[in-house]
Amino acid sequence: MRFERKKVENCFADSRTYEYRIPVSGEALAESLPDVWEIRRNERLRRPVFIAKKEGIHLKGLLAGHAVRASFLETEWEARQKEFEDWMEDMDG
Amino acid sequence: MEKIVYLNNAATSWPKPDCVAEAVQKALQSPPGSMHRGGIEDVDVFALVRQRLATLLGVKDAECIALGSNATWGLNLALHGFPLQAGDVVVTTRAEHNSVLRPLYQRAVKEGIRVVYLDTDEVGRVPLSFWERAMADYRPRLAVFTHASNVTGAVHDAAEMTALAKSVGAAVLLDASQSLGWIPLEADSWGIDMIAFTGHKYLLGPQGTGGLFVRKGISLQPWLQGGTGIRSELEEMPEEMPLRLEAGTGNEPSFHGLLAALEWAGEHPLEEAEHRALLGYLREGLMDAGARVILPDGLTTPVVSFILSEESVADVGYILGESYDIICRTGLHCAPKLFSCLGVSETVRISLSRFTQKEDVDAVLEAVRDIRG
Repeated sequence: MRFERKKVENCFADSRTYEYRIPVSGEALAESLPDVWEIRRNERLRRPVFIAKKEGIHLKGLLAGHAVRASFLETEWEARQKEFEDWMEDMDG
Repeated sequence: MEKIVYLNNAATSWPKPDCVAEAVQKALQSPPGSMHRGGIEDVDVFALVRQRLATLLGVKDAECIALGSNATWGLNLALHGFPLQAGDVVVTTRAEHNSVLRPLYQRAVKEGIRVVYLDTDEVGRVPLSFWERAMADYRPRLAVFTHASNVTGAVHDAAEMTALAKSVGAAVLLDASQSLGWIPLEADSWGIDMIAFTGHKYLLGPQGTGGLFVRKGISLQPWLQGGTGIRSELEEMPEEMPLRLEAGTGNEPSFHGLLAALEWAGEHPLEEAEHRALLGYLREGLMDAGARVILPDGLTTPVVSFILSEESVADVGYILGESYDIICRTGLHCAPKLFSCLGVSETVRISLSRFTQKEDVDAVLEAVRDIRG
């Protein structure tokens, strides 16, 4: 799957956050995440979202949107980002 | 597209009065004032802004107000330009913004000054007893504090804190970024030596406007040096204010916008009771929705910080923005030392403006209720 990446301004300690524009919906991406991810969906919201976590990566997006936001733990952000992007590149889309 | 609910006014106010954009556009379409014909009929927008600001700041010497790009510019001029030597003490607070913390840190590391950071209470205000004791214990050369916390909205008693600092011979630098245009200032009668301010928050002007007031008798080493338009024969920056601190061409179009905003505000005084009621409505609604709200007593700016116990601050901010089109701010708010005093690691911050309506607040409360389920 091809994607566009943009660094997102944030004012949190110890995190690097990037937004990814993707060709599939947030819902499709969330459903494709491996079991190691802990995934929550919140359908009550005006535009429902999913929030997914695994060690060192925090991911969220609108279920009906085509952009997701990933925060990587500061101390190992490059490795975590590569791991996540490698996974997305291997995903069909 | 859904209507955007903009509640990030403590960062940059929006919307602006219509006259602001009109003034900027008109300035951009007109020959610049720096044509330097200099005749009596020339409009000197910087002088007019200085006059308006002098009234707001409560100072008589408008020429002591240097105009630049923002409060960070003013704070850096003051903090890098104030004469300090190794071993000199600067007392400040944990409520300060990085535009105070980082220049002081650099001077501590490079020049050996000592910086003392005073704890605040759990709502972001340094108790006067702490301040009084610190003045007596450290007898600082310089005391620096924010007029209002950008995280909680708590307003410091600038008059009393200045008096206590002056009683031990300290010079006082006030960061009025979060207060000017919302909280009255009387710098002359309070004796404040320097005030940094910005035009794009509660003054409702464009980004790229701000400045620094420096009382006569305080001599800052110019941190920026360059052309001043006059006294070009001098090797150094001229002594006279505001030229001493105003190197380079000013942001004339944006200052036309700020002037329009200041004139507009003069014709539309702040309806304090109305805004206080709306702030109270927001605070109570958030608490009713189960949020932990930081609640400063006494005087505040229209800022509310909160957390939800079951959701991360980052997630709440994301949901408010992406799912509800509510623009707020999350995280450390560039005031990282404050959070140990507040007892939280980060917050969601909602900041209102003169233009915030009850329906905007209702949109926040509805969203928070939805998030909590």
